[in-house]
Amino acid sequence: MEDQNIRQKLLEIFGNQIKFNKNFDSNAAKLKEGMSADFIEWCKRCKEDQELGSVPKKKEFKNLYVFFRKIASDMRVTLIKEQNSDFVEIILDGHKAYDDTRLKLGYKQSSYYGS
Amino acid sequence: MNEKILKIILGKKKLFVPMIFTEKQFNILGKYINHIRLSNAEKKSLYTSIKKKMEALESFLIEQQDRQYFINNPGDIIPSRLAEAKRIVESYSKRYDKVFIAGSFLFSKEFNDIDIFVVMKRGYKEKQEKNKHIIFLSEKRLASPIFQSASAISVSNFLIAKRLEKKKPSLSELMTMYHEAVIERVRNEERPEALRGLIFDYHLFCRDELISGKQLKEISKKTKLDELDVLIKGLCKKLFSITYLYVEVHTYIKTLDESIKNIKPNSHLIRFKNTYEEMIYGRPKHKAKAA
Repeated sequence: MEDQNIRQKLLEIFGNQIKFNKNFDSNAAKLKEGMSADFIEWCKRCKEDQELGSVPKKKEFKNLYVFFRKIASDMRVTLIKEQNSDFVEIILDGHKAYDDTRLKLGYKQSSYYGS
Repeated sequence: MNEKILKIILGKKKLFVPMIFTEKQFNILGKYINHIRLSNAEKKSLYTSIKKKMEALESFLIEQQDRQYFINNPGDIIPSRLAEAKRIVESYSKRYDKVFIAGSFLFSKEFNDIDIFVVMKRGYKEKQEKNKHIIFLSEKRLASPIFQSASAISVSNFLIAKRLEKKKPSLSELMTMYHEAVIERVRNEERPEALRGLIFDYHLFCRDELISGKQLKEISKKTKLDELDVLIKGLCKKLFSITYLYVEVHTYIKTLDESIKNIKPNSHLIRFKNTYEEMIYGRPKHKAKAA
């Protein structure tokens, strides 16, 4: 599946308010056919309240509901929704960016990539 | 020229002069390793006769390296996999200095991919090469419990130092791991990473045991949802003071209260709330109904 196609499908699922990370398209292009199909299916299930997420511990993000998913060994997805509202952001990236996102949301205390 | 061999030769002059090198050639090697300028005649000698002799000596080292493996807990390794692991280590040794193979490929009939660990000076990276999952990690990170545990059943081309650096996880990290472990168990995830992490940390910090990948796999298969609540409570009580837990968790329970109203399905959030209430008040305050 082409990366622009994936972006388009996600816009159809979540609406135009969803933001994509900077490297979304280049990372989406790396996904094999089966992986991108799984990824889209998972997004659909998140939208239809069929997946479980978590509530960040940081006070400033307590209004968010966050879904995480591992795709292959080197790709991670973070999907962020505002509680009682829309999905606002999707981040498809490698370990480093995944780690930074978790750090920002308060899921981690220090960066995994310290050493 | 291999510096290791060069140093051995220079340190054992009597063994090599005059049998292998002449006095002059030996002096040239001394100059070469100390980066002292060589005359044209010396350069010629270095790049012709000396170099050839050195190559012959280096071949012994390469041969020896190719045949030297370090095997941790061979009894736990499936024999046919051991032979294959050696072949893989040998092949990766051509590209990298320190390589080891660990994980379910060695001890389990069924495996997803072959975990190959490459030790580097710094950094951390993972990549997939067909069915091979390659993890590049630093020497420092190799001392972390999760990699020490992985290396407990392993095949390597170097002696893996038994050096354990126990770093206490933060409360946020533990809570996140617990949340994800519950989600993984509900989903019946094939490779529950957070669940394994929680079990691993519980054994490490509450029981002072470093469990191997094989043990971890077996225990995580049997661990039920309710047991995860017990693990997180045990870990938190072991690692943090009740006062600290109260201050940190009390606010989060309020956040969960709000989220439970807003989110469906919410049975997992109710579980988290009950667990945290039990942890700081000794019992759940009042049972919320799942939507």
